[in-house]
Amino acid sequence: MPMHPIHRRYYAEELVRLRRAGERWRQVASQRRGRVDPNPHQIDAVMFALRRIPEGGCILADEVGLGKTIEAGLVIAQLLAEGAERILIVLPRPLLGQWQHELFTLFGIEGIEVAAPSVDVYGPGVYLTGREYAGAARGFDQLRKSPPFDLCLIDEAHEVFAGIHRRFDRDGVYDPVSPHARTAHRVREIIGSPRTTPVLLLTATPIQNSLNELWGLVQYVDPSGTLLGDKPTFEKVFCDGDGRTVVVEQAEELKRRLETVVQRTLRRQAQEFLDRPFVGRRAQLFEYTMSKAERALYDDVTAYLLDPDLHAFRGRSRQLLLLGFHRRMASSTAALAASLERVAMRLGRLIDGQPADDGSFASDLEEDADEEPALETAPAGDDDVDIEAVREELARVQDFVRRAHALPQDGKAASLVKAVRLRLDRPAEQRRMVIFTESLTTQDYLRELLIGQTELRDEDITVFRGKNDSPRAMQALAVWREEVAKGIPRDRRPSPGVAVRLALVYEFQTRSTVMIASEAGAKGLNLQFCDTVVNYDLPWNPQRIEQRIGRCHRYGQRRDVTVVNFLAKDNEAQRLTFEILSTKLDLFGKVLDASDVVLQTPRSDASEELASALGPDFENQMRRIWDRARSVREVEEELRRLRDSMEHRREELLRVRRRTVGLIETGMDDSVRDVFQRITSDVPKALAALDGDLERVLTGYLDAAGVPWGDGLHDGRRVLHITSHQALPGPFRSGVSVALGAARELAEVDSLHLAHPLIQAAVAEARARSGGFRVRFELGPSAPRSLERHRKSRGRLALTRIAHRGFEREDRLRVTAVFEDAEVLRPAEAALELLRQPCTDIPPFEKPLAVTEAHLDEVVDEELFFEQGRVADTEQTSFETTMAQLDQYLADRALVLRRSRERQRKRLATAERTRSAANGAEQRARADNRVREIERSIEALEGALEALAMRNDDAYRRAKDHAHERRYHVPHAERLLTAEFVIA
Amino acid sequence: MDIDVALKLLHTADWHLGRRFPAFEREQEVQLTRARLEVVGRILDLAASRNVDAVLCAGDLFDHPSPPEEWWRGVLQEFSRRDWQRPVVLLPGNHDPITPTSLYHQSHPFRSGLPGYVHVVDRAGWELPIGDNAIVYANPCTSHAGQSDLAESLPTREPGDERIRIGLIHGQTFDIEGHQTNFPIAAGSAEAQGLDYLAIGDTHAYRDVEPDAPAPTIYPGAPEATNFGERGTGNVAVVFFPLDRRRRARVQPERVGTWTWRDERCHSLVELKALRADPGLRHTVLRLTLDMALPMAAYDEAERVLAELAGSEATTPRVGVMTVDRAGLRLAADGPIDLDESLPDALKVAAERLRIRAATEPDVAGRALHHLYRLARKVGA
Repeated sequence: MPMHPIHRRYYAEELVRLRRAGERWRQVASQRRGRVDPNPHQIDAVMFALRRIPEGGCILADEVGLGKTIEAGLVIAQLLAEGAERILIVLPRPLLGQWQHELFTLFGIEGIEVAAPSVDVYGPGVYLTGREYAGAARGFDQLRKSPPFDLCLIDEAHEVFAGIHRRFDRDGVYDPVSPHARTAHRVREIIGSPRTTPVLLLTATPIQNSLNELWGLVQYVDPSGTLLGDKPTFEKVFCDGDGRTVVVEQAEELKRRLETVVQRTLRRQAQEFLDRPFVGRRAQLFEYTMSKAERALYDDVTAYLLDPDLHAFRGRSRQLLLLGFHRRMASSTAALAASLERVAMRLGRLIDGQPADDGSFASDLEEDADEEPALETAPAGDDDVDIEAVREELARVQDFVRRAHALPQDGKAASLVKAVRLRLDRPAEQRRMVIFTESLTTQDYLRELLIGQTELRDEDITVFRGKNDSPRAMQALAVWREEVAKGIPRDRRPSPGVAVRLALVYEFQTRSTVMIASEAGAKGLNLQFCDTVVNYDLPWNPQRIEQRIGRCHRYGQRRDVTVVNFLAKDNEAQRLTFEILSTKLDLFGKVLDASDVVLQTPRSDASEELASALGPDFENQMRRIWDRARSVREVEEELRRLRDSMEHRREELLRVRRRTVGLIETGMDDSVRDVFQRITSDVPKALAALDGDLERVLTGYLDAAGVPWGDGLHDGRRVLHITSHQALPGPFRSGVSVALGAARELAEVDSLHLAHPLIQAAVAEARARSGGFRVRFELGPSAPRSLERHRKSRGRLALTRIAHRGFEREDRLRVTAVFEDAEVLRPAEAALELLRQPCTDIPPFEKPLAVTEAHLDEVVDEELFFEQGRVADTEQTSFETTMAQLDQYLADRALVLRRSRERQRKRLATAERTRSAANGAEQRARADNRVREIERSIEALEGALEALAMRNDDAYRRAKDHAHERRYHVPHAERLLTAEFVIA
Repeated sequence: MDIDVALKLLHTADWHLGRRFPAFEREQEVQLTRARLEVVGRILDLAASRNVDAVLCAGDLFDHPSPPEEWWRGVLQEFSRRDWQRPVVLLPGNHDPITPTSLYHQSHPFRSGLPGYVHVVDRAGWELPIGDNAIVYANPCTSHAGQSDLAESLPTREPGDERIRIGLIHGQTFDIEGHQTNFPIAAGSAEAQGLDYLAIGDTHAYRDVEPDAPAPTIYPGAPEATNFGERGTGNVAVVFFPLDRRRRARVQPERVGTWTWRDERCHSLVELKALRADPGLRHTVLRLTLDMALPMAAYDEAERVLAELAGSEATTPRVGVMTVDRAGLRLAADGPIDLDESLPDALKVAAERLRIRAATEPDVAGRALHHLYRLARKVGA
């Protein structure tokens, strides 16, 4: 027998009602939507974020590698399921592809990239934008004018956004026209000022250089500004000396306050709960020697490039072109030869009087487009070209080209062949390696090299770059479509650009052995099935190197990851660069030579922080050195200086870190473990309950609509096979199979979650009818005894949804039943049980009911009146916490005033002594003035203290009024259904 | 949905506005008196959110009949912020009786500044209808002390009067053993006077005086505690009268207070540290008594924790209001003395001597040892 409409309605409403942030049910609902099995620390973080979002947001600051993206994705999925429509993600541009990819593959959310004014940002959607774009006039204008966002998420927040503190002046007043931190300011404007959009900040290193930066970050997530107070008060109350470390006595207090907005899990805390624990990282260094001819060419070309008056590198993009050339030269002789040929062509065009073509230069280095470096504008000297000089330069370059082509195989290539052969000797599952290069020419060159000089065949090598349109890539796509895509549900099939990327990764995972990846192309790929990363060349941006390694050294990797690097023995500049990356930034972990002799052991475990804090400066310095230096010797000297300054800054950074890291870390691993353990044991139960509820709502709907269905098992999950039927929503009319349970690694069938179209259809159908019910309840065997005595009784009942929107947002369902003798069925749980008993429709009563609709209304009214009291305990606790924060805010300010008063009192004592000792009328008058001046100042301070005691403070009043509004928010009640009933 | 068929009330009492707390320092005292005013705003907000038909305030709203202006001015501000129709009834209690000089008197600017919806019970036999189906009867206190039962003179129910009848008075019920009565209220008064609800004030704890009687008699208690040892404070009563008169009025306490008064005795450093970890200290009035003998290093640690709790020139206090009785904090002279090895021998010898003397003269020798220890630490640092 199909489920009664009353039950369908109740179970549908129970399924979709908004739950409290702390309810496990709420969190697992988003988990079902995603294709992930989150770890306890991620679930903990999601619950923390959901609780904080109504308060303004929070900082998710897990250590690197703990999957902050997954946490953020779960939060986004949950908010979308609860009705949020517009979400903005602001991130470093190079991470955009990775985010888009993960949102899609893990959560089925198609992110919209906002990189041009032509993108429509007015509708619902998850928008991703590079922070560079959001901070530029065009992007700012576009985003500011769009409707408000329901959430703004900022990734790697410490890098640009912590600087917001620099826009506050000495009095703590925000300066809207300050030249500092423009991007941070503009994003602040986009999210609303005064604040309307809650903010989620992601950063592994919220404290980098100073406590002021931390203060800056907190401003994004504490819209009241009362948690840490205004900037001058914060500095006076918490900061020691130069503002880098906390006053010792205040460390506990600051830590306690930060716990309100910062959630951080350390790897050591998460480790035991991960099914695949973290693995290590080691680097292997292959040193090679250049042949005489190679060395001579390298030196000559370098000398050429350092010449300040080159005709080939003139014009607006001089710096960009030159530096690109340096990097290609460091990549491979093939790349060098190709670049030289382009230089020759460029010079040839100049002689012919044609405009230079900058595009052909940049095309070899894909990622240049992402970096958007500031192009140094040099005066265009093209008007007065000295043709003779150009001819000379062309001859010089042509000589280089000839020599480059004449070179036998270079030393670095030979080293690579050796390294690859070593890998190929390993067991089958450990042979895979990904080779990164910055240059597309090098990419092709390496492919040829490996096919020619190792046992690898064409099909063993996957070439991956930003634009994958080769016949081989198309082949891979066809295979993937055949083997994988067929099973992906229609609403989750990716766009062609994404599909080919997935196809190439699939090929690498299932068929080939080596992936040769251009860095820009490989962004966002998850290659945890491969344990070797080969840096054929090294980018100057340490974060890029970190990201390369991170493709393989990530959650899910089972073996230690080996990073292979190459170094020319007699190239001092290269050696110095490598030394900075490995010994100052600790980028590669333990460094071994080709025969596994340890060359260097890292001095800290802070490589991510070092790369993040020192990386941008390192890259800038590298650009500066290679741009300005006029000789190799000069380059080397500059690099030595850079090495020493990096050492100095590294020490400074680590010193600050040692003193501040405790502020955001809980020292008590035991309590963290308890929380994680509870989550581990609760989640499976909550998931099972959710799956049961989803199934009940769906099958209730199918039965009511007369849609035939059957069930079976698939990969250990229960699957419902739904037959083709006209009553089903459009895409499912021809029939569909849906699974209950985790969607992860599920290919052929779709899995049920709250936002699934079938569930939405079921809920809509259940809501179609709300009144005119007349039913007989049969008390089943599970009926509570308290209902027994009401057998044969008649009455009326109502199901009401009460939407609480105070500190906690929650929808509660309440069943109210009143009998003919005016007795109200209590407790409320008994009324709910009655509604859940089996029931059937009955004809109209012969004798009208003695209890009227008005009577039922009154009882519902009474229930609602006391309903607020039922959530009052938790609401009052939240209210008290907020008020305590506000009082603490005033207490901080009072502390600063009291200190000033104390200082003035001491001054007063001195001034009074001076007055007593004064000689002569003039001296006495001066001393007298001084005393009066100090007295007035003390009086003013006391007045200010008194005002604080009387709570005369604007920020306090605003925040207090807001807290009152929330504490005494009137819940909205909606009657969902009413029925007349008799109990059999 | 909210069909106004039944009567809803908010009942409060014993605000004690303007109460002085001379045991505390000036700024702490201001915090506590201030807390009393802030709770008034919350009570009125709660009344609005529950959409009650009336707010009954059952006496001792002020601590004196004529409190300083800042307190009654504050209450006026709270009232004038609200554009209300629902009546608010203020009843003079034994702390704030109505007299010719009290703020409830017609001539007082407080009284004349009250908005129209606020009513003062300014005479015996006072009554106010609420809508068509309910009426409030009230008698005020006219002096600090009295032996008359103010409930007795409330009118009894006339035959045929079906209205909800509510009594509002201030006084002490007989049921508290050994409690000296001032304005006594006889047991069973509500029923005797034919009332559906008797709203009373005086006792600072929430109490349903006669839970089995057909009509409730309720003390809502003080919405913010006024002293140590008070239990059940911090509430108001919300009351629902069903239209169906066969059912008793339903009453629930609801928390509005944010301060707790705590008497704590710590016997060890561990207990002291556990106290520090309490997240609710900001709104706590803490009377801390220390009773522990600690070795030197632990003694210093205890001092640090105390400074953190009470605040110092360097730190914001953790506790809202705090007094410490540290007479019981002693130095355990028999513990190990962690003196720097590099100290001059003479000091080490002195320390050893003091330690021996501490067995017979714990106070003097212990203190001396403590000072020596601190001095050595300071020099060492």
